[in-house]
Amino acid sequence: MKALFARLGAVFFALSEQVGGLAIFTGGVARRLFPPRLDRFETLRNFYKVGVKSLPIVAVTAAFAGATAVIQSGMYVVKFRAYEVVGWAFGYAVFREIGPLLIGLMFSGRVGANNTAELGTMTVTEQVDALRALAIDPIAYLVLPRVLAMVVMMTLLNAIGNLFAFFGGVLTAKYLVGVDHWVFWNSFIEYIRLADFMNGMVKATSFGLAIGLVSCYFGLAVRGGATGVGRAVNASVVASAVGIFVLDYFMTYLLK
Amino acid sequence: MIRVEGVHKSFGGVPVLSDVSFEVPTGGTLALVGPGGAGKSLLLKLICGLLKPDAGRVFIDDAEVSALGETALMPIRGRIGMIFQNYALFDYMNVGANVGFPLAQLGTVSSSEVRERVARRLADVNLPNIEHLMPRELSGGMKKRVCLARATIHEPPIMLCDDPTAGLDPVSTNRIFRLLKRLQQDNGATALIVSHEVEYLRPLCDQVVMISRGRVVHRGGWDARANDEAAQFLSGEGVA
Repeated sequence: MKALFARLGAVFFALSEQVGGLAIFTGGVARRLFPPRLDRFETLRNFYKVGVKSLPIVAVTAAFAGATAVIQSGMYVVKFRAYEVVGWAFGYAVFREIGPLLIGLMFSGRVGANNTAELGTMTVTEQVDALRALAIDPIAYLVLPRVLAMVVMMTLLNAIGNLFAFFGGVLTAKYLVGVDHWVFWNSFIEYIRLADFMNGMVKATSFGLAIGLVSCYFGLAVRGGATGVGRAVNASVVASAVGIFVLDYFMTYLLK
Repeated sequence: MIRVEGVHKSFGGVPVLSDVSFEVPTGGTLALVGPGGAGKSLLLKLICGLLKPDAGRVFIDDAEVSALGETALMPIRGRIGMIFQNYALFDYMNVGANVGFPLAQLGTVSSSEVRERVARRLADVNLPNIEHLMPRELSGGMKKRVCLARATIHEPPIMLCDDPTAGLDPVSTNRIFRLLKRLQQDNGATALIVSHEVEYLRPLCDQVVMISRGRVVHRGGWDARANDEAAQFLSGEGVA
C-alpha cells in the first residue's frame, strides 16, 4: 500500500512538474511577443516546413474525413430518403468537428513530433547551448517562429483541408450514396453558415498553438541523449493529443 | 578577466565541482587540464553562464555572471567566443551561415561584409571556399576548425575552448593550437583552454589549473613538482 501511494505521489509530482514547466514556458514565449524579434530565415524555413510539406498529408486526411462523414450520414439519408440534408450533415460534422480534430492529430503526429525531435537533438548536441553562448535567446530565435508557423499554418491547412473534405464528400455522395452533386451543394449552401466554418477555424488555431507550445517545450526539455529525444517525442505526441481533445471539449462548449 | 571563487556544483546529490577557485587576468591564457570527468567542461559552462553554480561566484570583469539572469547575460556572452567539445554546429545551416551567424544576428553588419568576413575567417582556419558545404559533409577536424571560425568571427575579447582538439589526429591538433595562438595574439583575448594535450598547451598558456575529482589540485605555472598527481599529469603521463 505504501509503495502504491509512493508511486502515485511520484506520478503526481512528475505531472505537476510538466504542467508547471509548460505554464512557465508559455509565459516566456508570451513575454517575447512584446516586441517580437523574429529571425527572417528561421521564420520562413518553418513556414515552409510546417505548412507546405504538410499539405499532401492534410489533403488526403481531409478528403477521407469528408468521404467518411458522408458514408456515415448516407446510411440514414438513404433510409429516410432525406437527400436534402446530406450536405448539411457533412458540413456540420466536418467543418465544426471532424476536420479540425483529425487534421490537428495528423499535424501533431507529423509536425509536432518532428519539431520535438529537431529541438531535442539540438539540445543534446549542445546547439541550443551554442545559441545561448552566442548571446541568442533560444525562445525568441527557435520557439517563436515555430509556434507562429504552427498557429498560422494549422489554420490555413484547416481551411484548405475543408476544401478537400468537400470534394471527398461530394464524390462519395454522388458515387457511393447516390446523391447528385447539385443536391449536395444546395443542401450545403442552404444550411451551413459562416459560423460553422469559423467554429472549426478557431479550433484549428487553438490546436496549432497547443501543438506548437507543447512540441517546443518537450524538445527544449530533453535530457539524456538519443533515448531522451525518443522519450520527449513520445511525451510530446501524447500531450498534444490530450491537449487537442481537452481544448476541443471546452471550445465546443464555449462556441456552441 | 575571469574569476572563479569557491564554486561548488552537484548533480543529483553527486558533487562534481568542490570549492574551485582561480583567475585568468585580462589578456592571459590559462590551460585547464585534468582527467576525463573532472568537471572541466562544466566549469566552462558555469563561466559562460549556461549553468549556475550551487555555491560560489563567477566573475567576468566586474560582472557577477553567476548572479545574472538570461537577459542581463546577453551583452556579456556577446563578448565571449566559445568552442564546444562536440562542435555544436547548426546542422541545418551550411558552413557559411554557421560561421557568419554571430555577425548576421547582430543586425548591424551588411550581408556583403558578413560574406567577406566569413571567407576571410575560413581562410584563416585553412578551409577556404567551403561555405556551401553542410556540417554533415565535414570531417571531425574540419568541424572543429569551422567551430573555431564561428567562435572567433566577431573577435571576442574572451575565448573559452572546450577540448578543441578532442579526437583529432596530430596534424590537425597542431594546426588548431597554432590557430588558437595566432587568434589569441591578434585579438589580445583572454583565453581559457580545456585540453588533454599538455605538450601543445605548454607553449600557449601562461598558467595552468589542474582539476581532479572536482577539486583544484594544482594552480600556477607548469612546474608542479610539489604535487605528485599534477606532476604526473603535466609531464604527460596522465592520471588513472
